[in-house]
Amino acid sequence: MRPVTVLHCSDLHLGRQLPQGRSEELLMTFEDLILLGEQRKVDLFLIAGDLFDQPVPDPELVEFVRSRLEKLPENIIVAIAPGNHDYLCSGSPYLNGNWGERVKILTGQPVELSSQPVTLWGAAFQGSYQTQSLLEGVHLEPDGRLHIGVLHGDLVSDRGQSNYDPVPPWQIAQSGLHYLALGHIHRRSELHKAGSTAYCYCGAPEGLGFGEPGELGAFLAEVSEYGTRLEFVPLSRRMYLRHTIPVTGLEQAHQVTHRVLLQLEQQYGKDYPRHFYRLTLTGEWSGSPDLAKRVQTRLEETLHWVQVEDQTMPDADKVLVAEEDSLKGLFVRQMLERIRSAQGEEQQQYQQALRLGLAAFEGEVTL
Amino acid sequence: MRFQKICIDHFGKLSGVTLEPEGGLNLIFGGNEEGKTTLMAFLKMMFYGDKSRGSDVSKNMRRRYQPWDGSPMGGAVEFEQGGIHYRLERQFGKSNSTDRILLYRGDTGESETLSGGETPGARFFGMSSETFDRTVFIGQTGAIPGVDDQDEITAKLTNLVSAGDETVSAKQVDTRLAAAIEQLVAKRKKSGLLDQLYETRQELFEQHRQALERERQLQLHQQELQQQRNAYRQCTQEKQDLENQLTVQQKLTQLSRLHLAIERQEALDKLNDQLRSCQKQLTGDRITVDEDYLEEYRRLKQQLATEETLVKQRQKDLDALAPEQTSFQPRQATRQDLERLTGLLDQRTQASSRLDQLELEQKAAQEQQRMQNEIQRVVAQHAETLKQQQQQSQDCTKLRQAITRNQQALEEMNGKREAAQKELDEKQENLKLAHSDYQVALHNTASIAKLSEQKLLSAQQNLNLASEEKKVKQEFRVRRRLNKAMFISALVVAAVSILLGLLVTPYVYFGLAVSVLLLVLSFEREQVRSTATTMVDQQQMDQAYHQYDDVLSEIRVDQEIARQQQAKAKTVYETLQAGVQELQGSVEHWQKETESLQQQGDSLHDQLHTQELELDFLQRRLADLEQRRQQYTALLEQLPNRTEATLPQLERRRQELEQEMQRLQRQADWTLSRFGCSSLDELQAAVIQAEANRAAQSTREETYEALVSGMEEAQEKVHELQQRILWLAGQFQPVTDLEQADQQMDHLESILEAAGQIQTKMQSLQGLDQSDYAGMTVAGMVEQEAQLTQQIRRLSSDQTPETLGEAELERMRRRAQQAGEEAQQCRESMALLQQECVRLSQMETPAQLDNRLSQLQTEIREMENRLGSLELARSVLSQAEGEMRQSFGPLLNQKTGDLLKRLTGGKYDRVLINKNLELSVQENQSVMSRPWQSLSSGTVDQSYLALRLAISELLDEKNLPVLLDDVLIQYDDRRTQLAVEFLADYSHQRQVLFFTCHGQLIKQFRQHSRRVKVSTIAKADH
Repeated sequence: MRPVTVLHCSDLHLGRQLPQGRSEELLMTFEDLILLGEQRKVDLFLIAGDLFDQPVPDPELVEFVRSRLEKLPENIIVAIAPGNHDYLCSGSPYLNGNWGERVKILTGQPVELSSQPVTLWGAAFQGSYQTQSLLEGVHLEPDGRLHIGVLHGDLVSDRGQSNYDPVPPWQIAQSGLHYLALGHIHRRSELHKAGSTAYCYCGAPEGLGFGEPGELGAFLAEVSEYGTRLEFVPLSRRMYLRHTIPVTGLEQAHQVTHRVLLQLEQQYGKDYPRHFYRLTLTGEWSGSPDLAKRVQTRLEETLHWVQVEDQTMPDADKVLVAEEDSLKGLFVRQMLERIRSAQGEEQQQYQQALRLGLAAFEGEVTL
Repeated sequence: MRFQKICIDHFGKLSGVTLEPEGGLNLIFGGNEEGKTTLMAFLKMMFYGDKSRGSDVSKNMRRRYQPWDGSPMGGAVEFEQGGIHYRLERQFGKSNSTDRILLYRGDTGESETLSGGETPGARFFGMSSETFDRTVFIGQTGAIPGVDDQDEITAKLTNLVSAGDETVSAKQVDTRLAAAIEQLVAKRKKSGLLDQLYETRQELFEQHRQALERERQLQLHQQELQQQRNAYRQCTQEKQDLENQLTVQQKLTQLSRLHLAIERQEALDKLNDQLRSCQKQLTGDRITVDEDYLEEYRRLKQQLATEETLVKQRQKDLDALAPEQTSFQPRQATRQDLERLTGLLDQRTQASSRLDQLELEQKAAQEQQRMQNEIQRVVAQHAETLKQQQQQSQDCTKLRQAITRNQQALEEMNGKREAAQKELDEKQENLKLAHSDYQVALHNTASIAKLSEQKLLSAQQNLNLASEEKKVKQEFRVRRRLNKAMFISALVVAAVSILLGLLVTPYVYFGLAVSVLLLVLSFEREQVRSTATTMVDQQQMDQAYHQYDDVLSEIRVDQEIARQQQAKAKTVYETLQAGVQELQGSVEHWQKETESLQQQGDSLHDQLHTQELELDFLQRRLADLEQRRQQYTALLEQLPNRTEATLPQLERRRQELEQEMQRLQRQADWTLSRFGCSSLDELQAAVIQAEANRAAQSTREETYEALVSGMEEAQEKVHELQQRILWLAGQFQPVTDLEQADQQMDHLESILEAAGQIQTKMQSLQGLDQSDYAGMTVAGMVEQEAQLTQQIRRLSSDQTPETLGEAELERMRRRAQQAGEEAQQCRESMALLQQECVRLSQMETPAQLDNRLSQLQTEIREMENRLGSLELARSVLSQAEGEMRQSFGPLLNQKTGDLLKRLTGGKYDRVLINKNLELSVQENQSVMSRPWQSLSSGTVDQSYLALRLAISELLDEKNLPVLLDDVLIQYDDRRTQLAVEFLADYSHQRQVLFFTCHGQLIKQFRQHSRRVKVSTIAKADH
């Protein structure tokens, strides 16, 4: 049988209220997915859960999604497995909406497609939590068709537990599926195999916070009886990025700003201003204590969104030399001793304590 | 710095006062109320002004010292500092900013401006007003009132020993860190950022719990919705099935009617054929036989029979008239018999119509019964529902009461929790104080140990010294020795004197005196002999030992006391700590109880809501039942042929009527049978006949004759009639004789009768209600029958459905209606449930709240890290401060101790000063330190005078003058003496302005110092 091309995505969370126009950008990314499916002439469009952020979304939003899906070419079948955010309940658009023949809402029963030699399987969350595996007991017998699964779940170890459909690999191996499209984890994974079943997380196509950093998108998978090949397609309009900027040797805030912009442009190209940044200033700094605030003000002129955190250390030696016998000097000495003898998080906390203490010597401490 | 001239224009009660103090000791003398304190206040306000704004005169210096005569308050001070002469003029306004300050340099004569709001005091004294009050400006009160917020003194003292510029004190830094911590976790009102985040988190937890509850509720609603859907489907299906069955029955009825119609039509067709056949048979050669024909024939035959009968009768009469025979004649019917029979028949007819009416009433009664049953059923349901509603109301009331109780308990619990929290805060404060005391006690113990060691060492040294051998001149007393010869002589003389006195003459008793003298002389005097030798001074050694023992015991006692105090302080501290922990446990317990009660309250609210929904449902059901009852009642009212009688009564009446009818029938039949009749007509005929017979007999004789004549007429008539009959019969078919004609007529009559019967049958058949099929042929009806059969097969699963009785049909109709109503109820319930499900689904889900919680937890972690860092910074700062204090503390202690020693003549020479500038003093030779609160007021004054002077000496680079306002008030003579000596001595290094109202001090000061300038306030001169 010929391979089947699959567009695998999940966790769009359409309808979530986000600042700075991000809510609208999620809708735009969904439109990009539709366009991608058209352009790449996929056979199946799989949405592995959390398409909507709420179980009963706004009717206008539902109509938007329905109308966009309608625009897909006739041969593309859409399969949706409701997740823990858009679970099945009374009022759910999955039960009440008029989706047409091409959109399959998977609720635990295999669906044999007439237009393709494919059997789809998927299951739906019935509430916010699902402590029992939805894949348990599922086994599709070989019948000359490709078996493709769509599931919103949490990969766990053999006896692991989870509130979000715990799926151990052995159940995947026993499922009889050729490919299992997973959703729920917002970071994409590599392609794994359990038995003869290939599975992976595609991640969210658009990040919702700094918990989902880096480039995000969807997977195009070519599934055949011999195996699966994946191609990652980046889609996110904006990325959430963390960076550490060393400031040792610099003396002015504008120098720090310049270094930041240069580094970001080198790394992310001309489009670098569009992303979300969380920057941490490190190294030695003996200048004004409000460095982070000043740098942030300057960067906000260029960057879409930025937050600057000051983790610089004062040039402790300077302080010690200049104020060796003063209270400040004593404080710095005792702090440095503790910093040297601590490790890891404790050391960071002492460093922060030193910064705050020195700030208190200079004036009011701002949090 | 040195004051050179003080000029008061107007200040309080002072006006035009001028003083010119000198470099050393200046005594400003004035009686009570002459203005000494006013003068000191003037000096302070000249350099620092006054910031107080209140209306309290005791605190607002400007109000207090407003010149009594209303003149503008002001004056001037001339002073020298750093070799430069200055003149400071100040006219006081309402505040420091409105004071007119002029500063002139003596060397250049130019005025100087003070920069940036700096006070003259800060410029020339180099300290704030508060520090000025605590150092060189010494009033009559003793202790230094606490440490100010800026802790300038400590900062300046720190400056002494640090190489840096201590522009900010440890207290300031600590205050800033504490302020930052307070921003995160406010002690009171929980308004800090972190407190708010915790509260938000708690709220989110609660919202999460509610969201889970909503989801659970949603699932329950969905299950119930599914059940309602199933029930709706079942009811609808049942109703459909019943309606189908009813339709089938209707169709069956139609079918049976159609069958009957077909049968009738077939019968009609058959009868029609028969009728045509009869009519054909009745059609003769010239006529068609009809009833008239036959009637005519019968009439003729009747006439013929009558005539023949008449003939015979006449013959008989004729024959009979001749011989009269008497024979038994049966009773003949009379008109009364006829009337009686008619009456019976009428009664029977009436009974029959009453029976019909009764049947109608029975039907109405059945319908009535059914309605009443229905009404009773509805009323029973209503009662049951009402009972449920009342039960539900009671449950709701109980729930509301439970909620109220829960709220009260919650308020009570909150109150307890807050009270416990308040107590906890207080205890924590106490704990801090106890900790401080404990630290002091520890310090004391250490000091005592050190001093004890020193004392012991000293005692040991003394002992060692005492135990060394020294050259001494040892004197010893030689004991008195007895001169035996003289002693014996004295005895002999005494004895002889006595003997001789007794024997010879009393004058010999004089000898006793001699003996006594001899006796006395016999005891030699003690002699002191001295020898030079080297030996250990035992006494000294004993003393040294005693001293050593004393020191030891003193040390033990002091150490014991110190240890006890330390133990006590520790016990207090530990007790308080345990108390605090216990209280914390209580607070947590109350918190848990509060949360538990809140959860209980929420659960009760949910139950109440559910119950209220149920109650609402029951009320709607009650309204619905009431409506149905009213409908049935209205239907009942409108029922035709209503009767009060019951069905059994009606049935009895019907049976009675039938029996009556049967009785009447039997009577009528008997009456008829008596007279050989079978009907009323026959009886009537019999009666007529009987009357006729009677009439005939009476006229028999009259008519005999006529009979004869008539006989012939009759015979003739008979013949004529016979001819006529033959002719009539011949019209149909020729006949030869009457018999043939009769036969023919009988035949025709039978045919006509048959045709008549056929027509009657046809009429009766046609008279049946065939409105549905009027005009339809049998073929059409058969086709319709086939359609009906098909419809029935379609509607019924049974191939041959049975026709059901009316009762069964009625039951099915009722059941269908009921099923419809139940389906309607299910629909309404489903609509409500769906609404509720949609409402619940649109609220925030646990998954969304999980996201928010996750973000909040991250934020809380960051804040907690920051809080931890701030607390670490404070802790390390405190340690650094302690280390720093150790550098200047001993210095201050030493300086103060030296000054105190001079002031107390060596009684107290050691002091310990804590960070709040509270001191404890140690007596010389004692290891115990006593806090200032336990000292006498005089000693407190001495101690704090020493402290202030020590601080000002340590801080003072500008050699500031010291102002003292009668500080020796509480001193006794000896202390006063010591203080005077001290101040006189002290004034050599600094200018001292001593304000006093005690004149004897002037003399004392003059004794100790030549450079004493005495001024009085009233007079501006020496």
